[in-house]
Amino acid sequence: MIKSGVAIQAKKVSKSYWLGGNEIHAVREVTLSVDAGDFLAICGSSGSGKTTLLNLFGCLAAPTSGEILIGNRNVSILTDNELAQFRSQSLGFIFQNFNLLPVLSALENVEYALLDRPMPAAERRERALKTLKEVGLDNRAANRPDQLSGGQRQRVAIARAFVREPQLIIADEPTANLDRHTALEILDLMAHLNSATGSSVIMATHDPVAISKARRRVDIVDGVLK
Amino acid sequence: MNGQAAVHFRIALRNVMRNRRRTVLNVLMIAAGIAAIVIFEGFAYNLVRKLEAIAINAQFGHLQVASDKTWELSAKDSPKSRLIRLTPELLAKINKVPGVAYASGRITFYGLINNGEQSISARGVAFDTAVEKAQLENIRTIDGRNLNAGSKFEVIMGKGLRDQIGLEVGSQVTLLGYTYDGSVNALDCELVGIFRSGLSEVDNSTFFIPLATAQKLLDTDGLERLVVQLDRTPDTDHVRDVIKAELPEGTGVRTWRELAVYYRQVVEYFEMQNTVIQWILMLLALLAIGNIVGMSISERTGEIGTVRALGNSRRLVLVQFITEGLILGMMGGICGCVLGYFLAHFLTYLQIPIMTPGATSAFPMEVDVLPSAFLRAFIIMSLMAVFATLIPAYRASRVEIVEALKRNI
Repeated sequence: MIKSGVAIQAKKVSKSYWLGGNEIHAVREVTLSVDAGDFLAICGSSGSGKTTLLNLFGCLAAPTSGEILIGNRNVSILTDNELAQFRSQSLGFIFQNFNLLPVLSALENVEYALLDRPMPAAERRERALKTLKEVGLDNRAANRPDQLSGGQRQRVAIARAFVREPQLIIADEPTANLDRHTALEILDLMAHLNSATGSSVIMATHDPVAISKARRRVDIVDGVLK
Repeated sequence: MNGQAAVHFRIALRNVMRNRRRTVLNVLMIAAGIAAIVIFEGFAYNLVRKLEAIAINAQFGHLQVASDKTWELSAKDSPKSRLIRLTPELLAKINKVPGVAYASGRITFYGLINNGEQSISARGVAFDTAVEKAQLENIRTIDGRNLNAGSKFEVIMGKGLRDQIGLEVGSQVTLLGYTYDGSVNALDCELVGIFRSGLSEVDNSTFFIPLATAQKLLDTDGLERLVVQLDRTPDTDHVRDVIKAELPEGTGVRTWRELAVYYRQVVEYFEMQNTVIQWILMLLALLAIGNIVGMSISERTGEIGTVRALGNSRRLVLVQFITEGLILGMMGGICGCVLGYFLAHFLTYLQIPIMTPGATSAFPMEVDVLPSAFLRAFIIMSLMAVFATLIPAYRASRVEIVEALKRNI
């Protein structure tokens, strides 16, 4: 599925929180636009605010000020339930620690992302299996996460994110827990699926190799985009 | 419907089985609670049933018909005013009421028993030995023999009473009593047997004689009361109402339940004890299961963050954990019912001797298997497992996604 137009638009988005009586400005008036199908790397050192920005884009936290539009929808004004539904319908997540559900097999983890989609169970399974095949893990479909290597787990997580064919995929340091070789494989896979599905990818990273795989990069320092 | 509920149920089931040691502990706690409830209820029910049988068959019959003055027990009324005249028509009417096995006269009186050297006060119960078969069958003689249909001038007495007066079976005994006109009368009888009812208040003070013998001693052809035995105990209230309509003015009818004070006290005691035990078990289960489930949920905060990020609503998270609580409750419930069933049979098999307050002898412990108790215990403890899950599950559903995700390490 090839998407077109603007995937996400951030307008003067700020996020601050209180810590030990001090107000911390994690993100300051970020304005950013990402086109559909783009692969953006948000780069910055630890504590620069990249994960906070990613959480805002992923509708996991609400901005203190400013607004975020994903597609044409202003997600800054959605209720908790609406946000949950929106995440389910329009977003995919790839985490640093893979975050697979330990009681589910690889196939079931991918299938889980489609649970609220109006489709017969057989079709859901078939689609999950197809995506698992695309990440090269159809032969490990029945294995649970603890029976998979780190790289294999991240492949399952990628399949789980892409199986929904979302508008936007949020990837937070997806290679941080992988060795160099596996990290490259994962990045290639993400780039391939980004091109093949047209889902935009926004990836937070400080890994130069990961940055090199993105089509575009922005840097964040002390919560401010440079 | 695309099998979403089934998938969530499967996930809940796997989560329950994830930490087997913890699950086993939870299941055991629920099972022990259920087993305790069903065994206690089964034991109490069995005991109450035994007391019911004693009250009906050995003491009061199902119903008693008597002068209103008999029930009032006022000292200003003469004993004679308490007697009822049993007309053949009234007896025939009562005997014809559907459900009535038989009706028969009784007299209860206080007199003296003399062994030739000393006298002792005792309570005499006189009944028609030719009619009251249930009464005869329920008198357990431990020495000598029982009264029978042909008994005349024969007496049997409780073991405690016999021990006090020091008579042997076959001895002659003199009964002294006041006639209803106030004169003293005496009658020689033979002590043919010693009984044990199991209740000290009966064994220490009571002797049984044939009705005709008592009427001769008390110089009357009247009856103090009419005992009505029914085919089925559940018909008691209905038959009472039918008989009541047939009775002349000044005569009343009472059920065994109204007359059996000790039985009522025991039932009330067990009901109260049962309620207290159930509440204690419920609270213990709530605290223990809540603690274990709380730990389990706390350990899975990271996963909660993941599923919330993937789009699960707070409600779905809550439902997921409650389903786990329900599964746990059902597993514990099934194990508890099986455990309770076998323990009930095992305890009955062991025949553990039990003494109740006021009893003169121990009887073997028996535990009835009551389906209603199993069902109630199952529902109570399963609900407790769900309730125990509610607070930690609610907290889990309210957790901030970003904070929860940080727990995925």
